[in-house]
Amino acid sequence: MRPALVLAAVMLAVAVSVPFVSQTAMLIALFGFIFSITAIGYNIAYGYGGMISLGHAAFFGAGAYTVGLMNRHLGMGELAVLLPLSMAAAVLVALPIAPIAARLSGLQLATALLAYSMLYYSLVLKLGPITGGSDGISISGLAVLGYEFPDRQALGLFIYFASLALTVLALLLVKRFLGTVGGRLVLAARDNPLRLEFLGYVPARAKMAAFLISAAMCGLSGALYASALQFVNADLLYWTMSGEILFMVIFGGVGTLLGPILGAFVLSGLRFYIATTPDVGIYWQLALGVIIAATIYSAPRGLIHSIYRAATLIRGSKGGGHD
Amino acid sequence: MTEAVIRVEGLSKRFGGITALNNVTLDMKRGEVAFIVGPNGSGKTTLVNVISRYVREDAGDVIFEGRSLKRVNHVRAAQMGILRSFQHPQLFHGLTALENVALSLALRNGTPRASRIDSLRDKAQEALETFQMGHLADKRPPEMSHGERKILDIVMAFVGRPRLLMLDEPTSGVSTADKWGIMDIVIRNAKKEGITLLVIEHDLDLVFEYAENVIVMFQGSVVYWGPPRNMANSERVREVLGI
Repeated sequence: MRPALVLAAVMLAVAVSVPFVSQTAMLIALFGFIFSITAIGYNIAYGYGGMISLGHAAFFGAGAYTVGLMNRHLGMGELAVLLPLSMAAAVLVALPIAPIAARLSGLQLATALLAYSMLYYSLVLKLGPITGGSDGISISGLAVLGYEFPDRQALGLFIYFASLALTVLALLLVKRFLGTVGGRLVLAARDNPLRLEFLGYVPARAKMAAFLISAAMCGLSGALYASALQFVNADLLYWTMSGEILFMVIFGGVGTLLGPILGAFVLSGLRFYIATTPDVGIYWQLALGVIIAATIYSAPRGLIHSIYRAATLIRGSKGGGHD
Repeated sequence: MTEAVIRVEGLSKRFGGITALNNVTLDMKRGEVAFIVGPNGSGKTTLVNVISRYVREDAGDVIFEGRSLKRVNHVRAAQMGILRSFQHPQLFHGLTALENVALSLALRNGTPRASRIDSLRDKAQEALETFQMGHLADKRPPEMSHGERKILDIVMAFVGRPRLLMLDEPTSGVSTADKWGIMDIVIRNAKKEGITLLVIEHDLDLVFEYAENVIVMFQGSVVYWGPPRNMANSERVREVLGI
């Protein structure tokens, strides 16, 4: 059996057993898996499609608010409906800006998406009677296939395993997508859009598809996040949320399969530490800034590459591609 | 009489105060192999850029298979079968040589034809072998020499089934020993596939060996257009090319 498969099986076994071992570890891993889906999605746009974004909070928030709004106004709590609906809502939010995102690049693109996402942030605050404004929305009565969760713990356990399964599924789908002509077109559009045009293909098509898939995954994770907390507020749409998503991917490894998951878990761990340690909350942004600067300086290709390099050194063999 | 695949009529193009093309008129028949020669800045690449619709003419027209390309952009031109390689190779650096070629195969006429890139591996490998690049299949462009990247650029244009293929200095950066081999493969395959070939080339030995027609350009104008054997009879050509 290949070492990578053995390692994957061990990690899966650990992930499955975590909720039955430690409540604290489960909470960290729960948000680790939720943000893994966010980061995997973001990585499709940025890592593979070359579209740097400071606006993905809009898609994450769209997913979260779909659960919140449907729950508050229609009394809907069925996750089997809410989760796909959240993905559709995120795609709907991404749709107007996608053609622009597919044609801009670099700082122009990042700021255009930042401005776009802040529109939704303002909208949520302005439409207080509908969205709950700055107070947010409390969510209750969540169920799956008609089964209503009796308490928070049962709901948390379900969201945990759903997020774990969806993370694995997202990983496998992205790996498969990259092996398709469509996936290679996304990489090619990132590398050399002009060449694609001279092969008769409009690169914006591949980029748009990558952008919308990315938005859908962020929407899904936003819905899981809101369901896990049973609460949603406008902070999820604020630009710092987009910054955190970007941080996860840069920290873990841009354009790699496993890097975003690593970044998501590190961020979740940090968030948990900040939330549970008195008087450190005010240092959150400072700590994040220092960590980003240190990562870019010491591991510019992300932590996953450093781990691969260390593993290669330990094995004493010459390196090969991992992702 | 064989129909002209490409005809340019009175093409003119200025960049600021510089005349890049000055009333250029010429045509190429199906399967013809023509070379463009001339000193740097004589308008060779601009002519290829205008024919491939990357640059728009100020005056004149490009007619491809009887149809004016006035309203056609470079993407549509590629879909119609006007393909090209570049002076500076244009490749996908994150993909292997094999994947670069496979993607070109998948995009014949601009529409993706296969869902899995793996299904095109054999054909892509075959194309690389044809151009003696088979051993580089798993290398990415940054790991290749400039000459190898130029050849990969040509292979990518070739596998797209062009009706008109334009190569911009295909042998620059390629060793003297290799350039004859490469040009031989290019010409042989173009003839086999019935591709009309327009090549910008500085090496006059290659031009005399392979050209059916030569277009000599100077300061945006065509100073000679005809078979290579008559070139040296023109005093203007001798002056421009220093032969």
